[in-house]
Parts: sequence; C-alpha cells; structure tokens
Amino acid sequence: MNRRDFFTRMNPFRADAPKGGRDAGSERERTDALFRLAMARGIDPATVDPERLPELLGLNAGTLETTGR
Amino acid sequence: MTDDITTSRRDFVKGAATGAIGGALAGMGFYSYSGSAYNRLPKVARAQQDFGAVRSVKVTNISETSWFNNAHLMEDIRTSGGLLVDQYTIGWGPFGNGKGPGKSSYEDGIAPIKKMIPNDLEAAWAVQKKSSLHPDNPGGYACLIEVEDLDGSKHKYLLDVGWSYDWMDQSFKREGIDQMLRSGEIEALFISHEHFDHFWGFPVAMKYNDHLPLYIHNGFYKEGKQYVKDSGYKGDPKVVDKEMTQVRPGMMLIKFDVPIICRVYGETSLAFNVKDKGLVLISGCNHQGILQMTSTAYSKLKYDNDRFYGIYGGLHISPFEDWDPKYDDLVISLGKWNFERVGCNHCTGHLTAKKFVEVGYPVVRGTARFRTTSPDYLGNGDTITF
Repeated sequence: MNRRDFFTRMNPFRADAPKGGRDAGSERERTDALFRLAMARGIDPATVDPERLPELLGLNAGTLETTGR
Repeated sequence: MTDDITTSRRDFVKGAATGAIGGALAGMGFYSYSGSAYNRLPKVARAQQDFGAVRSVKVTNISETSWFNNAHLMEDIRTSGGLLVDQYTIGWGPFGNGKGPGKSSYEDGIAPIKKMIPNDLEAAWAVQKKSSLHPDNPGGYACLIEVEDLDGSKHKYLLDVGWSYDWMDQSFKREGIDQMLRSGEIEALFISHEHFDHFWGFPVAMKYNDHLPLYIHNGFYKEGKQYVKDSGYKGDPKVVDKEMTQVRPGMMLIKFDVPIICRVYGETSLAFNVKDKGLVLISGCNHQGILQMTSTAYSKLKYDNDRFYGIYGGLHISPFEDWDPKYDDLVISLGKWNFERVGCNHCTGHLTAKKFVEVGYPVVRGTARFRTTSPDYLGNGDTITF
C-alpha cells in the first residue's frame, strides 16, 4: 500500500466507506454539485479519480466548502 | 573507580512513557501499512445479476474521429463560456445561427433546416456550414455491434450516430450501415449520451430507418428530445430510467447519472457476458469515468470466470490530447482489472493509448485509415471481436 492509498483509507468520505445515514438521493446531489463545480473551474470531472476531486478543488472532505487555501 | 548510574523515578516514568507512546505510534504505522489492516475495510458488496451469456461480440468502428482539430473545438467551448456551456448555444452545426460563439440556440439552428431533415441532409448541412463555427471540424462517433447468441443467431445494433451529416453519411455508406438500417438488420439504436459528437448526426440514421427502436438516457434535455422528433423519428423512444436494462440474454445496458461537460446529463454503456471468456464493456465516452464503469459492473453483474475480458470505446482520459499527472491515476487504476483486450479509441486519446502500451496493457492497434491519425488504437473502419 502506498502513501496515497493510506491517506485515501483515512478519508471517511471515500466511496467504499459506510455511508452513515446518507441516502442515495443526497449523495447524488452532492456528486452532481461537485462535478459541476469542477467544470466551472475548468476541470472535466470524467478525467479525475472521483476520490481525488475534492482535494483537487481544495474542498473540505465531504463538504462543498473550500479549505480556505 | 566506578560511576554509580542511578535513575530517578521521574526519569524512569518519562522514559517508559516515551517508549510506550513511540511504540504505540510505530505499531499503528506498521499495522496500517500491513495487509491485515485491509481485512477491517468494508468489502464491496456484490449483488451480481445473472444476465445470461453470448458467444461473441464484434465491434466495427464506423467513426471515432469526433472532430478533426482539438484547438478549434476547445477554442469554441472556451469562447462560448467554458465547460458548463449549453452545447446548443455554442454555434456548432447543425445549430449555428451566425451570431458568434455562445449566442446560438436549438430553435435558431433547426429553423432553416427543419424541412430538409432527414431526407435532404446534404442541403441541410450546406445551409448550416454557412452559419456555424469551424464548419469543417465536426466528424462523429458511432460503432456497429454484432452479437452472436449461444445458438449461433446474430443481432446487430448501432451505438451512436456521430455529428456531421456529411461525414456520418459517408461513414455509414463506407461500412454498409445505410443498407443495414434500410433492411431492418440493425435491431436498435443506442444513444450513449446527448453530446454533439454522438447524437447530432441523428437525422442520418433517420434517413435510412425512421422507426428503429431507440434507447436514450432519461437525462436528455428538452432540446435533445425535440431533435429526435424534428429529425423525423416515427417510433416511440425507450427512455432508459433504470440502472440496468437487459436488452437480450448476455447484453445489458447500464445507466449512469452524472453531469457532463457542455450541459449534458447522463450516459448509458453496454456490458456483455461472453461465454467462457468474461465481461466485455462497450462505451461511447465513459463520462461516468472508467472507475465508476468498472466498479459498477464488478459489483452488479455476474459474468463468466468472474473476469473482465475486454473493453471498447472512448474511455475519456485525454480527449483533447493534453496530459496531466492526474490522468496517470486512471491509467494505473485500469490495470487492476486485467483486461485481455483493450479496444480503445476516440476520447481515450492517443496519448493515453501510448501510456497503456507503456504499462503493458493489451491495446489492440488499428490501421490509421479514413482520417484516424495514427495506429495507436482502433481507428475508423477497424474491427475487434471479443
């Protein structure tokens, strides 16, 4: 396991993590919003590992808020 | 003389605490990098649907050259407003209105050609070329899929209809698609998604068969649905609203709900279980991402040998022939599925095909004919059988 895998496992919002009460609808809305935010910033989300998208966009994990960087 | 070495209680406690904390941290580190840590991760639940099997699947690439100049395409998208722009407003044929980038509309574009489609496509495209951006750039994506059932019977399907009326009509004639449509040999048309290069050539198919069964994603916008009608379609489109739609034994249509650049929503892809070989995935553009495509198939479909055998189509990694280190993640991630045959092209990108070869993936090379620019991957007129 490399370092990236290690940190990915630490991310509670990774795709295979327990969903913790989120329903499929809200998950879909969140993904849609994330993809549209990527496009607004000139990133084609289909060319990115979805797990890395929040990091690329400078977002706090699991939210659509920026980290302030 | 000997020195008495004594340890105070405080030093002892400090040492013990440092050792315990350091040991615990080191232990956690070793553990998290060990194989046993994986055992605690939730397993991917597999609710594998048994959808039968086919004997073989043959794909003929009618056209994978969706456009001929990347710089022109990107310039048009950028000057029209960027990746979120509505594709019908960009000003590309057949929906150009001569007002410049980002100022067109479906209604403006269709008005002067509505009476010409689908029977006078040459005239319609000529009209549009006068008022559209980079009128010689459009090409299109389409492929013919021939499925052989276990009893030896064969069935033909069309995946996508490309973009330019001129280019697609030439391409259809080159591969005999016009005759197959006319005779009813082609049993259904699947539109993978609403994008210009996969869907806007729709009237070309209608010219030869205006009632063949049609499958579209339920995320189609009103303009797309209207275009189906305005192109003269006489059938009743099957609007795909379930994640899995079985087309025939061994052939499954998978729906993905995902926002796509240029204001498109959703893509459908095809999966086949080839007897004694395994799973074959065929896609238009894979805007859902190859990771989602493969993981969905893995978790939801049952296939021979529990093995991914082949993949065909656009894999959407470097569609504009640029390269970014983040694309390497996708290239590497595809390796875990151990495909035996990779028939990529189109929005996969030539650069990606070369990267695939570098990391040892079995990419099937093409013949670089009919304006496909290199043999890095399966080009126009090439075939692959799974």
